[in-house]
Amino acid sequence: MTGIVRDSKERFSQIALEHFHALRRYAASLCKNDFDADDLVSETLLKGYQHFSKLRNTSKAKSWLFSILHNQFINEYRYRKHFIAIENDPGESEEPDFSLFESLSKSDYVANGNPETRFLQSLTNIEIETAIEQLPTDYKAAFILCDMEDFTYAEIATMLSIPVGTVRSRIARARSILQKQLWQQAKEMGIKTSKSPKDKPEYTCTCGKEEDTVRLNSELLK
Amino acid sequence: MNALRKKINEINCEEAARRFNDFIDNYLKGTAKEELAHHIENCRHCFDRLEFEILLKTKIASVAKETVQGSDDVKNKIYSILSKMQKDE
Repeated sequence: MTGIVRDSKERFSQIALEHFHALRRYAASLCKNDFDADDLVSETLLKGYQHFSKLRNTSKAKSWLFSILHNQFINEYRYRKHFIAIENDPGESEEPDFSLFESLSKSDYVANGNPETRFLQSLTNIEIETAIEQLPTDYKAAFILCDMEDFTYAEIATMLSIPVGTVRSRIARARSILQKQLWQQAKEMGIKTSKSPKDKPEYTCTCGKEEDTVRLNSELLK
Repeated sequence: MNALRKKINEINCEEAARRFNDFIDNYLKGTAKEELAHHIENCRHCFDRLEFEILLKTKIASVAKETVQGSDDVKNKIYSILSKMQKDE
């Protein structure tokens, strides 16, 4: 093995080590079992190594590896039975902007402090993972790349070969579906909707009409 | 000083909620952001909802960081993949 090849292998190994867990997590979210996820990551790393010399900017290595993984998945796994395809999408017409906050605020859920925040704190990792697992795959991909892996919309668009606008809408849709799944879980825990829309309107805007409009923490807006 | 203040359009709660995703992903800029800021400064309900959305995103991100799937022996896994590659060369 020449020195150049050895250096290249070492550099690639470092990059692979750095991003292995994130790649494995993303692969697991796309595949339906650990075996396929391991296989997908292995193929990604093999392909990454084969084409490593073409990567000019190693600061983009993470998004480059994710692109390879996603394309491998599309090419080799999409038509397998393990993959739940987009046809399971509940459809654009169904509650495109479901809000867990609104549902909780209309429910009989009672907790010390802010009930909605307390509910979030009570959620377990398994409950969240289960809700993510149930997302339609195309939405799940955009959602995980944005909310879990911190990629920008532009990077996700490149990885998934879709327009930025589609990335934005898939992420919004995924969040809405995820919140609906969490609300289903909340209902299974016994939380019920207790207030009718007449009791509490969808939006209870004070908008300066009430004298005691709270002083809001401006940190949120910085 | 007040005379120099730019007039900010009022938006309703529905419009504010439509902008939440762009805001939490840091894509909301300029006038659209100012209008949202102005709205939630005056609307407790929207403020709470936006805070909830941000907390939910943070919670989900923390799940990803905590959940490391697969074998702990990552190095060996990667080296075995690269060794296989070397044999194939």
